[in-house]
Amino acid sequence: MHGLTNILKSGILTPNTDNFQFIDSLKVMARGMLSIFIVTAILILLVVVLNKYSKKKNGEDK
Amino acid sequence: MEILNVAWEFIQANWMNAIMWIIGGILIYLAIKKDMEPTLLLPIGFGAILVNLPGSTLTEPGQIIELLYKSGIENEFFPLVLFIGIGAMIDFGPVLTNPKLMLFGAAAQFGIFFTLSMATLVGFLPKEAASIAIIGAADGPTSIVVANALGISTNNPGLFGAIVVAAYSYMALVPIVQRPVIKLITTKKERLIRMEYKQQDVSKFTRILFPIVITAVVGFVAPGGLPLIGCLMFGNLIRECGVLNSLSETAQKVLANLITIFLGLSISYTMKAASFLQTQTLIVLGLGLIAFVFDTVGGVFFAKLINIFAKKKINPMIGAAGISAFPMSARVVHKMGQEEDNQNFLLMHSIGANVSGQIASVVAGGLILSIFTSFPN
Repeated sequence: MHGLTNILKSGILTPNTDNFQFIDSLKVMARGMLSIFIVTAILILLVVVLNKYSKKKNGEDK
Repeated sequence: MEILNVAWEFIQANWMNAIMWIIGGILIYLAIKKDMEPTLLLPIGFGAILVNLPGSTLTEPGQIIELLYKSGIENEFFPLVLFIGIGAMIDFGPVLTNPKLMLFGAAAQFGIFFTLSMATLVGFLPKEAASIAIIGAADGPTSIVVANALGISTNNPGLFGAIVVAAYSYMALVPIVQRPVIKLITTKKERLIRMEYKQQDVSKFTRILFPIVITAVVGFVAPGGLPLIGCLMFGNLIRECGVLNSLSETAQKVLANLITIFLGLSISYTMKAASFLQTQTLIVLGLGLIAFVFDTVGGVFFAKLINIFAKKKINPMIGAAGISAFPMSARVVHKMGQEEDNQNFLLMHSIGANVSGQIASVVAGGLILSIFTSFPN
């Protein structure tokens, strides 16, 4: 994941705002899909942590 | 002879309006006879007829359609408030039980970015291409908010109208669009894969924290999508908190229905014949179809990719349910599974993928806004 976020930070996938060409749209595609998957991975992790914490809390309450 | 001359002059002056009456009539027919997204296609269709009648002044300053448009679409009020109602309707339980399903929601946004490339290739300007691409979010409010924020509603109202009509029409056509695509890109053996579902309770704690956490994460990553995700998750929070049942019911029913009426009618502001009947409208309809097709392709192929490594195989049709058209896409996938094997119950998995597509489409919308807002055109 660290590698993927580094790709986003590096600027390789930054499109040209002044002269947007087809190749820039492919950069946006790569950037967009990468970002969505990174966000999704974070959300999955958070839900797993939430579920585990909730189970632990229910176990303690019992 | 005089009557014929008058009639011919009338036809010459109004033939484009007549085409809009036919389009409005078709939308009303699809809404009533075919039960396709009637809540929106009927007011849009009726509005299209209203604003294109000879002598109609409804789109002039101070008139009702213009007032509705300025007060609800231009400032994004209607789609954002509608999202509160939609959030209150959604049960994220299937996703919270099996959070990995969110990956299919992510994969099924591929059509947005593929369509962006195609729209750029065809010659649309970057903001126009991005606004057309967001049809692939398969979500009306997201399409309206993104296209409006990118200035399309003011700079190119005909294009804006075409985008909204395309978004809602294709959402209604999901059962017709997705079926042949899924059949084309999956084998019978793949469609027969059974998936177990284990009923698991999700704690109230998780259900309450989920909308808050999602809003915070998406807000940090894609601040452009904060209005959308914030309203969606606020609606979900009032549903799940357990102490605001009357508000939740109001949001799901009265609020959602009221805003839908106003939204549908106000869209017709952009459907005056002169601005709507352009070649770009046909191109937008074609690109919108591409968006939905490649959303489906993206989701299914992602599931196939997972199957290369997974011990427990996933039915790749679940990937197609990651499109945000809730709940139609989930039902299509479940029904297709049942047609192949009536003991294969894919509904809970497909619903999980479908609701996660709602989140992913908003994230995609926010990303599109954060990339393209700084563009000059």
